[in-house]
Parts: sequence; structure tokens; C-alpha cells
Amino acid sequence: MKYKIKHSTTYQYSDFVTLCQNQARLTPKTSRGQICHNSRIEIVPHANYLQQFTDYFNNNVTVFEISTQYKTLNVTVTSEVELLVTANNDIDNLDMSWTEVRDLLAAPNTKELLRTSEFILPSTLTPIETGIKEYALVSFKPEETLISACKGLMARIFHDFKYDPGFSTISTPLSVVFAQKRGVCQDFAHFALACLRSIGVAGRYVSGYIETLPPEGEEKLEGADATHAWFSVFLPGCGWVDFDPTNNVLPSEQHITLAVGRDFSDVSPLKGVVFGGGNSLLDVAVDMVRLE
Amino acid sequence: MSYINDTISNDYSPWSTRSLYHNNNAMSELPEWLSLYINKPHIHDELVNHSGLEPIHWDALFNRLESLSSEDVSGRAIEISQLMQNGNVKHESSKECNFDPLPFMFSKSDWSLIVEGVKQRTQLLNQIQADIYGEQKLLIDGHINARKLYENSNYLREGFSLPNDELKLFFTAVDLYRTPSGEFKVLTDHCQCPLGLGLLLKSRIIARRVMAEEFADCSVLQIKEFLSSFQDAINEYSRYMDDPRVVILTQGIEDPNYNEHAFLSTYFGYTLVQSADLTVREGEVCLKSLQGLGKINVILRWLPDRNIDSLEQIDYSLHGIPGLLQAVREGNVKVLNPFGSGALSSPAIKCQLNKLSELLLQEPLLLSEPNYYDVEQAKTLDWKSLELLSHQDPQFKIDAAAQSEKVKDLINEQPDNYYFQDKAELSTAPFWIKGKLVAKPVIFRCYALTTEHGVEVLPSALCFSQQFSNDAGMAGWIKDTWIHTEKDTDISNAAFPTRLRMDVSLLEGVISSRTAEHLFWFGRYLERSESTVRILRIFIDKYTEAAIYSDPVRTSVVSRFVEAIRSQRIVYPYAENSAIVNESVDVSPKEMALQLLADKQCAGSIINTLEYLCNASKQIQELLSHDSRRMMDDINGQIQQLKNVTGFISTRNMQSLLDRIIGSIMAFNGSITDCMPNSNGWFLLEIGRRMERSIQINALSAALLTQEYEEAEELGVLEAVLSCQISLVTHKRRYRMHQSIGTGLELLLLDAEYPRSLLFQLEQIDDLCRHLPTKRRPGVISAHEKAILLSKTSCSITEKDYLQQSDEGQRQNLIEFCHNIRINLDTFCDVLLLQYFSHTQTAHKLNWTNIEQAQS
Repeated sequence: MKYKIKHSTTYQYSDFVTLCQNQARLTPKTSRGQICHNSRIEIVPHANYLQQFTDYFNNNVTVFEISTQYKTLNVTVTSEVELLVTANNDIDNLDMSWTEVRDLLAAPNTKELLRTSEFILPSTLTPIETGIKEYALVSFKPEETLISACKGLMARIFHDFKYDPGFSTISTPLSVVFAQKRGVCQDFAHFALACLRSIGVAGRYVSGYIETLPPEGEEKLEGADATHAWFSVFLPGCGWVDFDPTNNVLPSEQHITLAVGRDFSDVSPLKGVVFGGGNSLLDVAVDMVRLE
Repeated sequence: MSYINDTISNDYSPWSTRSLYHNNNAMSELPEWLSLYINKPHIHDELVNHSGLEPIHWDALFNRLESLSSEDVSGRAIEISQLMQNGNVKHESSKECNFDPLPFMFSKSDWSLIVEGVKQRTQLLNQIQADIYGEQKLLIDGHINARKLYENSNYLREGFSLPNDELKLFFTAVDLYRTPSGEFKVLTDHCQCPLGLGLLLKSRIIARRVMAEEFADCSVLQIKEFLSSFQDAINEYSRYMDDPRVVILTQGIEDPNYNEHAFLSTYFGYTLVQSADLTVREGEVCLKSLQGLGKINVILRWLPDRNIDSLEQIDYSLHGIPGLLQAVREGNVKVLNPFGSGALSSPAIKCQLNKLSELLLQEPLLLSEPNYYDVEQAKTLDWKSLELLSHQDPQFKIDAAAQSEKVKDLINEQPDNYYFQDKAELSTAPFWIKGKLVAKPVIFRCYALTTEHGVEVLPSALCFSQQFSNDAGMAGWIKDTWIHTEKDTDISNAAFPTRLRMDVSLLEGVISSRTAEHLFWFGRYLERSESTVRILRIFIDKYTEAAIYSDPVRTSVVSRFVEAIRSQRIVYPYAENSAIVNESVDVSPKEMALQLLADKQCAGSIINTLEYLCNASKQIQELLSHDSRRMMDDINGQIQQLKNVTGFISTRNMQSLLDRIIGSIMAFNGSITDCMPNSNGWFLLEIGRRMERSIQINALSAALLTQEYEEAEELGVLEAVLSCQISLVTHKRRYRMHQSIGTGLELLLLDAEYPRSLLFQLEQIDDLCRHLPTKRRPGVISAHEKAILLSKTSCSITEKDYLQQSDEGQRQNLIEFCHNIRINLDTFCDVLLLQYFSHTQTAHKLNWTNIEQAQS
């Protein structure tokens, strides 16, 4: 499956911005499950400095600076990404229990396991609050395989938590999300990660896109697709396996990975520092079109 | 002199290396203060127990000191403490740092052991640093616990995206102590921002001055070579640049170690900057200077690396420089010390160092770590000699035996978070406290420099008696540390390696716009203090005189002054009219004088102005000479006296206090007259000073000379005004025949040749402005120049008689003249601020894009 994605971010300022410096993680990764054929970033006004580098988590980072005065900033990234048919269909066959995986990660002896063991630690946005471990252990019974336990956890989050776009912001603490059982994809991913990490299983945060289909008989609206977030679990011998607790599915043909990290703060699509500007308004539009 | 060594022959005893520094044959040769110390019981003392079989290093020192009485030593101690205090910013939170008159002596053998040990350790740490930010073999093979390292907040993932070269250690320090058995062990490594080098330098400079003879006699190893290597190593990084810029990055005057940063900046001649002075443009780090943005090549950072880049790093800090890491990644700037080295001091690595040395260097550590135990191991041990530490919190440390209940609770709760270590039993050394020697436990901080030629160890150490903490700054007791060498080896004229060094003196000094602005304000406060003191002196003089001879003229002069001071027309903020004053409250002249002297509520009071002055001086500390800083210390002392002033102070005491203040200010002015290179922005101080004086003269004229009275009364006021501007004598001489308000105004405002006139100040300002970098097209005059030109012109074309004219008791022409001048002066200051000092703009963090909701 091949997609064309257009992700447009616009900031409107009440006052002139004299200088801004930014880091964008808007170029999709090429990984086991997908190939990013090309990706183009367009910045208006023109950036007078633009460089790319690969960060610790192997994400593509674009660094740019604009020193012309402006009131409106638009960053549009257009990418073509091909999703590969992965072995995900077979993962049920992998009957490694989660405790075995946990023990492997406790004493990492290969580069891969070492890098993975990073993700068993709680992070700033996924603190392990009281009750989280107990919540996790309901799914993670001693003899359970890693995959079935994760599926169970994903399903429980899907059923127990209410999807509520107005409820949370980026600064809503996880404990509130857990107590109220409400939030958006980002909160569910963070919560799932806290569950996994509380019992020593490695999980990472994935930011990306999800294709949306219009209700039957209606035309698809432009800009209606969305950035999305889910979590991913490490299964030795297989690699990272994605789980989408917001939709209770194993991502396969509609999820495109942008960047991965310990939590949202590692993958923030666009962050920056501005001089001047006053108040700002943000608008994000995503279009995801099937090419073949 | 001979000594009997009280060596215990039993080789199995850990105390076998003990000797007793003990003058047996000729006890009388040792001064009493010293023999008292030696004969006291000691647990294990450097001088008494660890001086070795042949304590020639201590002998060398005491041969010199034996003729000193305890009064002599105390005298030295006092001299030293005065020298130490000079020019320091005082921090209320930090304790005093006492510098001991007795240096610490290291024997040649002890020292060579330490040097080898520090070199070995530095090499080891460098290898570990390269591995944990590279291949990570040590983690994969389990030599370092990956989880513990990952959990440490000083392990910075950003390091992986930087070039390998950026991670090499540069300047490090290690704290050592001596165990009862005589060997040296390690307390802490300082791989990030090793503190104390400035303090060590300063103490060495003082020691050389106070103990010059002893210094020569003991043939102490010099530290100069090391410091040259330090600078060479820095220059090495900017070798291919025409005009390399090296800066020292400090948090600012609120940093408890600011004095040290400023000292190093002066010592090495590098510009001292704060984060806000730097900006990253197109991948290059630039200094916001008066001349515009100037590229920086090397940053010696004295800031933690966890949040040094507020764009890239997650830990946010106001002191971060957005984009700095990108500049490093691009190779456009060298940051020393490198990123991520803080992780080397984490327990995850520290506890394994003994093993890692065997593994990586195939040899045991020469300077070993104390024994560490995990919670399991410790359960079977006697806790008496143990303390509990935390993997997470580097400050956490409790005595295992004394707080055993708490320890048990903690390790039951989270066994993985804690570990035990042997308590360090520090050796003691003699410190001169209150007229006698007192034994205090000591730690030695040794410094190492890593260059491509290997590791170099500073041939001295900071010997101190109390753990430093980064929060409280340098406090406690310190000693200069002398490494004794034998004379003959030292004098060998070993050929010094010729060093290729750039002639740095050809390069112009750069100062940040922030410093430039502080210089401007410093000049203004300097002049403001001086003139306010003068006004107050004249005022006190006038009202005491009026109290004795109360004729109408004198009384009227005093009441006009009271009015002008109270309405703040002739003192800061130089109000343009007196409408704000509450007439109903009657203030006596003395109350008025007191307010102007020491009332914090009064904006322009002398105490407030002097405090502004002192604050500004801290900001430009590194540009002031040693002597100038001492003058500022005096002024600081006078502020303290002003704080204690009460309503009961006699007029006489007020007068003498004012005399002392003006004395200090004049001395300070004298100390800076001949050492103000304009390239360093010093002309801004002069502009500030001239500007303040202009405003002052203008305000005096506007407030006191615009109303017409009887001639005698008018001349009385004029005399007082002229006195305030130290122009009374000149006026009398020049206008012998006839004196009037008109002649006074001519002298004060219109005379271009008279150094205290308004026009003269304006001419000077105009002249000084040529040093400002131009920001306009040729042929166009910039706004600040226009403002000065307008004022100059109106001074030049105005006649004194025109100003003197009055209408119904008001000199309308003078009022208008002063008002216009004031507007132009204010414009000048505003433009200067906007065009040259506008560094104050602060950065906002862009809201992170929120992940929008997905459709379920």
C-alpha cells in the first residue's frame, strides 16, 4: 500500500516574529514496516537555514531558522510512504511469554536488546503512578504470551477509557487521565507505556498518521485525516510490534510511522523558540491519499 | 634538624607507614604554636602521621616559619583574609571562604604517586566516555549496569548525534583523601564543570605575596606551565582561525561561583558572557556585541549540560541557548567541557571503576575508589563504617549505623535505588584558627588537562576542609598546596618547548551588548552618586548655617532646596515639575537630608544610588582592575554604614560619612582614568557619566533658577547651585564685576570651553559617540546624533540675557530651554537603548504541535 501524505502546520501570530529556530520531526522514517520514498518540506516564509540530522532514536530531524519578520508561519511536508506487508499476521504464533521477554531485557547482552532496554524505564510523560502496575497485571498474567497480553491490554484501554478530545492537553498529567479514564490517542499511548514499563516490558511511543475513511456515500474532506499516536512493544526475534489502543487494532495498512521515542516529548513534530510574536493560533491539517 | 620517626615495625598493621613529625633533639627550635599542635593527640594527621620517614618537605617550610611568633602568623592570616575579600561579589547564601596562612606540603614521592594516579584515571574515564557514547560495549557486556546508567539524568542521548571528537574530556578534577593507612583514595570526580581553579589561582597569587620567602625556599613547583598548556589547548581548537573568539559562559551574578568565572575571564583574557549574550544564527554561535553579531569559536562553559540547549533538550532552562547543539554538530563551535561527561560521576560507573580499570587498562587503579556494596552484600556487614547512598540523588548520603532504622526502611522499599560505601576517614591538617593550629579533615582537589599530547596534571591542588557544593559556592577552609622539589632538579634550565601562539594582543576585545549597557549605567550611577552627595553636602552646610544666622536670604535658600529635593527635581528621577508633592506635610531640613542620605523609599537617595552602582559594578567586574575593585569594596562598606544610619545621627557624622563616600568615588574615578581601552566599550561609561551630568545641570537650573526673586536671595540660590557644580570659584573669578543669574547660566549652560558646563558635556558626548559602530547610511545622521546636535545648537545660539529675562517672576525662556534640552537628552538615551542595547528581547517557547485526535 502506498500513500501520499500532506501535513500542513500553520502558526498565526498577533505580532511580528523577528526570529525563530525550530526542530521538526515531520519526515517519516524508513523502517522494517515502511519505506519513505520521498519527502519534501516547504517552509513559508523561506528558511534561511535548513539542515537535517538523525537523532538518538533514528528519527529524521529537520533544523531550520527563519530570520525574516513574519506573522504567519507555514510548514508543509509532503511525503510518499509505502507500507510493507509485514510478518505481523504471524505474530500470534510467537509464543514467547512476557516474563521471558522481561528477563531478557533486564540483562541486555546485544546491541539491540541494550537499545531496547532504554524503553523499560519510566519517562517524564509516563510516570508509573500507583495502580498502574495493578491495572497492567490483569492482562499480564504469569503464563501469558507477550502478544496476547498486549492485545488484552489494548482492548481493555479501548473499552475502559472514553475518547474525549476536549478533555486533555499535552500538560494533563497521566494520573488524571487514569483517574477519569478519558483522553485522546496520545494519552492512551502514554498510559499503555506506563503499564508496560511498570512490569519491565519495553514499549515505545509512536507518532504518525492514520487514514480515515468517510462515512459511506460521502466524499472525503480535505484535511480531515489526522496525526495519530500509538504504542509499540518489543518482541525478541521479531522486532517492534505496534498496537493502537485508540482503535483497538494492530496497525497494518492504515498507520504510517513518523517518529518514535520514549514519549511525546521525544517525537514532538514541531518545536521551536520564537522571538516576538505575541499570541499565536495553531492550525494543523493532514491529508492522506492512497496512491495504489 | 633531625627527627625520630615513630614507625611501627609491624608490617601487617595498616598503620605501618605512619611516622611522627616530631622534633626530639631540639624541641625548643620549634615555635610553641607548632609544637603544641604536634604534641596533641591526632587520629591521623598529615603533618604528624603522614609526613613520611624523611619529612623534608615540611622541614623546608618550618625552617622558615620557626622564627615566627603566633602573633606573626595571625597577622598573616588577617592580611590574607583581606586580600581574599577584595573585589568579590558577596553572596548572602554562601559562607565565607577562609584561606589558611600555612600552605599544605606534598612530598615529592606522594605527589608523583598522585600524578600517575590522576593521569591513569583520566585516561580511563576518557575511554569509558568514548564507549558509553559510542559502541556501548561496556554496557552490552554488563560491565556497566545499563539500566542504572540510562536512569541517570546526566547521561545525555544528544551525545550520540554529535561528532565523536566533541565528547573527549578536556579539563577535569578529582577529589582525593588519605586513608589512615596512608594511601590516597577518590571521593568524587568532576568531569563537567570542575570548580575551584580560579580559587586556587587566587590563593596562589596571595600565597606568593604573603609567603614569598618560604615559597622560594621550598622550591615549590610552579603552576604557570599548566596554565599555558590550558590556554594552548584552547587555542588549538581555533588554530585555523584569523580572529578566534573564546568566551567563558557563566550563569550570571546569581551564580555562587560567579567570582571564579570573572576571575578566570580576567586571568585568561576571555570574554565573560551569559547565555542571553549568545545567539545561534544559521548554525553558528554569535555574541551579541556592540558591533553586531560576532562569531564565537570556543565556549568554556560553566553551566550544566543537561539543559544548555533550550530548543533541542527536553530539560528546559532559562539559561539554555537555543540551537547550541546544532552548532556543535556542525562543527562550528567547540564547547568545553564536552557534553555528557557528567554521567562519568554517576554511581553506575563510579562503583565499577576498580573493575573497569582492570578490564580496559589491564592494571589496578592507582587511586582506588572506596569499597562499594550493593544492598544484598551490605546485609552481612557491620554498618559502623558504612554510609548509604542513592543511585538517583547525588546529594543523598546518610550514616548507615547512626540512622539504621531509616536505612532499613529505605532499602526494603527500593533495594535497587541504594548502595553502601565505606565511610571516608579523612586525614587532618593544621589550620590557623583564632590564634592556634586546629586539626581539620582535608580533601585535595587535583586538576587534569587532556590534550592530544596526553594528560597533564596541575602541580598543585586545592586543599580544603569542607565539601564544596555547587549550590553554596566555595566555602569553608582552603590552603594553597605546595609540591616540594629538590632545588637542583628544579633549576635545571630545561629548554622550554617553543610554542606557536597567536599574538592575541592584536585582536580587539569584544564585549557583549549587555556589558556595554552595564558600562553606560555604571557611568550614570557613578556621576549620580557623586552629584547627589555634593548636593547633600551643600544642603547640610546651608541649613546648619541658617540655623545659626537666620536671616531671610539664608532661610529662603534652604527652603528652596528642601522643596527641590522633596519634589525630586534636582535628584533622581529629576522630575520636571513639583506637582506631585503633598504640601501639607512639613519636613525639616534635617529630616530631608536624612531621607536623601539613607532612605530606601526615596528613589534617588544616596544609599539606593550606591547600591545600583555596586550592582552594576558586579556586572562588569571582569573589566575592572584589582585596585578599582577594592574601591568598590570600600563603597560597599559605606552602604553597610548607611544601612545603620538612624534619625539620631549627628550632622557632623553625616558630613564625615559623605566625605568618605565622595573620597571613595573620586578614588575609583582615579583608578579607572588611565586604563580604559575604548575598544572594550569603556567610552560608554564616559557617555553615561556625561549624560547624567548634563541632566543634572539642566535639572538644577530648571528647578532653582527659573523663578525671579530679590537680587540678594537670587544670588544666594545661585551660589548654592554653583557650589553643587563645583563652579563657585570660577564664577567669582570670571565675573568679578557683576554677577547675576545670567552670568551663572552662561557658565553652567552655554560656555563650550568650561569643563563643567552643559555644552561642554554635549560636545564630549558627541565626540564619544564616534566610537559607536555606525548603523546608518553615509550622509544620514542617526537619531541619537540628531538629539545631541539639537541640544548643542540651542546651547550655542542662546544668549545669557535671553535666558535671564523674566515675566511676572518667571523666566519663561529658561523654562522652555531646559524643557527642550531634557526632551533631547531623553531621546538620546532611548535611541541608545534601542539601537545598541536591545539584547533584552527574550525567547518564547513555541507551543508544541498537539497531536490531534484520531477518528475512532
